[in-house]
Amino acid sequence: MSNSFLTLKISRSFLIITGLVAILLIGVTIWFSRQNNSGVQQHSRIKVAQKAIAGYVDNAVLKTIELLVADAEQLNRSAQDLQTERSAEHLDALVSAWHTSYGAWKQTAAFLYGPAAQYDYWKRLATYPCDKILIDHAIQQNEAGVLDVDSRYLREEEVAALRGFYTLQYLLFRNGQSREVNNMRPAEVDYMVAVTQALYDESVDFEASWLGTDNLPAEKVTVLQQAGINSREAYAEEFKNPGTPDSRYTSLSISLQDMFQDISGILEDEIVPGVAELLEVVEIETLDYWDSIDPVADLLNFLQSAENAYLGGLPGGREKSASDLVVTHDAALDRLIRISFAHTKYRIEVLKELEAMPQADRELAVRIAEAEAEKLVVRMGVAVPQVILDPAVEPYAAYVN
Amino acid sequence: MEIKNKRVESIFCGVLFCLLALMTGCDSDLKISSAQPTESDVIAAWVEQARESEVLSALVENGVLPSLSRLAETAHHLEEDVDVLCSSPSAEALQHAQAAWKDAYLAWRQAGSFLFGPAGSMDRNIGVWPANPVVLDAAVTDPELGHMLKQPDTRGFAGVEHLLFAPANAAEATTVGRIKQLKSCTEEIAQLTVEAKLQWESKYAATFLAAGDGNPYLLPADALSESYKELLNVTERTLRSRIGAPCGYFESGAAKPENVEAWLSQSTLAGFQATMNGFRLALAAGDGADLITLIATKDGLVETADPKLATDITRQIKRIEKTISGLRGKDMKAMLEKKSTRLKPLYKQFQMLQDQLVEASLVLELDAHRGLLELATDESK
Repeated sequence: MSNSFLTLKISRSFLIITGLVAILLIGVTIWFSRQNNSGVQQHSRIKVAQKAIAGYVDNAVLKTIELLVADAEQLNRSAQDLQTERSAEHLDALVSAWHTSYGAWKQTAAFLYGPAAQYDYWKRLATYPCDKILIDHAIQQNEAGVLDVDSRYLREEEVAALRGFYTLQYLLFRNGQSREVNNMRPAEVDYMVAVTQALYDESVDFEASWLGTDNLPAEKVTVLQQAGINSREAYAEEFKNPGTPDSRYTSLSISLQDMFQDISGILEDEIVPGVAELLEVVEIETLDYWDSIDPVADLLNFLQSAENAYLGGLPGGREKSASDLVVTHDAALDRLIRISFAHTKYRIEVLKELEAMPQADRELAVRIAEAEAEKLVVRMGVAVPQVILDPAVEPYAAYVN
Repeated sequence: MEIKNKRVESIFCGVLFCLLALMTGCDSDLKISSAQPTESDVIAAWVEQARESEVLSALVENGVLPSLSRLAETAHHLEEDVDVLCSSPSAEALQHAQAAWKDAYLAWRQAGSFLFGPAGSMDRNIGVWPANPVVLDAAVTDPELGHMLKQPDTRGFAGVEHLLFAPANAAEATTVGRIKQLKSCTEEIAQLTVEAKLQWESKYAATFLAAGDGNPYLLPADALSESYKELLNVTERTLRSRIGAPCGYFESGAAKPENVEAWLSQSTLAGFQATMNGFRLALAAGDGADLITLIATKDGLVETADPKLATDITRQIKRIEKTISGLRGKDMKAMLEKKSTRLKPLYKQFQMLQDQLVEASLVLELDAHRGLLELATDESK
């Protein structure tokens, strides 16, 4: 009796003491965690920022440039096919490859800082407008045997206005329509082969500047060696590891500033004015060589570029991204931005039928698309300072000691 | 003893569970979709646009116009009854004027969800709360302070409530200064409310219903957003001005029960109920063509229909109404002076409703978030 009473008493006391100790421990833990809550949150936001930047580089920047390289290679192959056999099918394939690779190029618009700015890939791959007179002159000289125009000559001896996507556009199209193969002189096709080869070489160089030549597949390294292009260090590593001795980026904030600056730049400088300009687009039959062949597709590619940068990759291959960073500050704002991307895209797609619309409907459709784009600009504008001025990613200034 | 042990054990487990729950938190992740618009989405978007137009029609027909009509009508009665009181002061006339004030005030609260478009600016003139009784009492007796009677906190529904309900009798309510202010305020209320009604009826309803023509609404969703923003404004105003601030929920020990809206006329709870009536009209009066149905069935380009959310909003409105009903018959000021936390459950329920409405605005892909910003800007002016 007394034993069982003692057992019960011990059991009861044990439970009470254990309970009190547990409560005390948990209370202390809660108190401590509250004291350090801001520190924990800050650490968590640093981790999210690091993952977002890495995801952005690996899945958005590198994948987009990789796609550009693949499309530029196909473009060069198509030009060679046309050179081998001058047929309408090969010309169609070349035109199609031009549209695809030009779209891929437009989708790199969100990554025009860093190597693109330093080595001027925007100009080297797509100087706008091209120099029609000099191109014609070069083709004539080539035809006369005075010049031997090849890709290396174009890259090393001539100005960028004699090559790139707009040079190809000039040679492939007249008044917005692709030319007849029978009207193309062999020297023009030869010139296009040289231009597409230069474009492919410089696209690979663009990829090397981010990925690092040492990290490229062997066949791409060979392309660079054959083109006589020097090897590059991996900018991606600098960008992904700000604040380290090998990086030009002093903090996460500086990487994020570059990232968001180009996203916002596309939306403000390309999409909004680009949509408004659609009202002034001339009839396709009267397009001049500097006019866009498909301005709606151009806008959609620009938008896709900004969206890929924001969502961290090409559709189907997205992981951590700028979006995740915005979520840590304002999840609703991130959803609003995603909604805005989708609505802007939809409203621009509607504009494909612009020419078939009555004038009043055209104006309304453009105003709607413009309003959606402006909404996107505003929402992105609200998100940017929250992310880049987060104390977790400071210092904010690039020139801090 | 065994029972006691078990009790100790269960208490211990309970405490442990609660503490763990506190530590882990109970935030649920917001739903995020990264779906891209497809061709079928594009077709669906056109269909949804047509449905949004139907919702706008029902909203105007069943919500905006009847509410503004009732407001204008009751405001007119208030003006008339105040005229009678001022010309022939009597206890009966005072009672009539007070009853007319209550009717007009409740109509005003119900119309709160529809104060946009031509009705959008009324709130700044006649909806300022609380009145400033010190200034008002002084200015109606001293002609030199007469200019102060133009300030919004001596006018509108709050000013008239003070003038009609604070005096002990009809004679006190109808001094020369009070008559002048009463007439001026009720005339203004009647004039502004009838103007808003007429402008809606004569022009703005057609403009609103033509949303999508670009004059000025580019899309039906833009007009819907305009209306939706007002719903969010009402929840914010209720949380901040009607419950939070007078009950001192934002500053410890700063409760000001005397600032509870319409306590003098004992209309506080009826006012909350009128707000909920307005919510019902704004959200669910379309018999299938309303916001609640859209929330439950409309897929956007990114977001998907959320029938559960639609049900939750409907349930939350019922919960709030039940809470209001449970408080009925209480003197709000006295109750809050005794225990200012009595309205905390109501506050939390409104807060939940606001969260649900914000979520619904995202589900509907509306541009309604400026509503909160606008309110903040308005109040800071």
